[in-house]
Amino acid sequence: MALLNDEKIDFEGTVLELLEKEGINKENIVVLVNSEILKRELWSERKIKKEDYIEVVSFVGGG
Amino acid sequence: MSFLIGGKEINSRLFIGTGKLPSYEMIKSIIEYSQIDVVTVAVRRIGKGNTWGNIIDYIPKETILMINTSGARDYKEAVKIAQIGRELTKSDWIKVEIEADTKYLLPDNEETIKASEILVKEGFKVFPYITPDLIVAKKLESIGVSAVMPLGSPIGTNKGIAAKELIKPIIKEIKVPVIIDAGLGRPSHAAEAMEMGADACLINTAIATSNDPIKMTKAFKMAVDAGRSAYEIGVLQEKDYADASSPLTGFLRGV
Repeated sequence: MALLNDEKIDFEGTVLELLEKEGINKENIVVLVNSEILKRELWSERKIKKEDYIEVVSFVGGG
Repeated sequence: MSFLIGGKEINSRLFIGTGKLPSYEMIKSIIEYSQIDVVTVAVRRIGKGNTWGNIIDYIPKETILMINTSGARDYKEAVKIAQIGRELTKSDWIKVEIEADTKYLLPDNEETIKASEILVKEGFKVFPYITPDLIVAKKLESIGVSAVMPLGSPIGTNKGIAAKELIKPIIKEIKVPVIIDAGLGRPSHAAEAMEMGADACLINTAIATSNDPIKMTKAFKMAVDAGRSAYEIGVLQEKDYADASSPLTGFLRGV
């Protein structure tokens, strides 16, 4: 099963479809697939595979 | 007066960290009220539904974003965070912050040198946060960092420039700007850092956790400017004996 930010997900489809299903605001985020940055233009092409580790990151306050 | 850092000409020698603020909404007021040019932000995984809101939406476009790599435990993670930061903002200003220990949050200078070397080669403007060590600072300078950022005392401790005697030689010997980062709890600490010849101060906790972050930023800004002016004029040396301010002649006859 694939993981999204450490949560198991049972999902078939592309990264873009996953973001939409999860209701994630797509502005100002970066998606990592297996610790590599997945360029925004590839979100709609990259299909999620069984062992994928997806991370969605953004900015927060920090010193 | 403006100064050059990271290839940009800026005015404010006070840099602000945005962690621990009571709300993201006040960031704009903080920046505008004290005319801040540089703020730091961190990269984290988002929660479900992206409910944290996005801090970038609250920061004016002309403000320089310095992405910190906090959360990185080694140089590889720091490099990854820097790349994510650049992907998100197109900002190439990176504060390299690598801590393996969470009790004192002391930076890992060795990993920081490794990360800085890679990031400079990748074209980033690198601002390494270090435990004050002249030799480390020299190595970083030769790598081509944009500044060095020694800590005054551990993050969030408000103890001021506890590492004063280790920071002095860095200020004296290092030609790139020296930014005192971490531990400065009061405006007087920031003024002291600037009087010593630091080029800038980065403040987070002392402002963000104060009762009024907007006004406290101003207090720090005035202190930074006052300290800088004194440094440029030339701070006087301490003396062991009194040196009268009023003339020692023309006294009245004793009664």
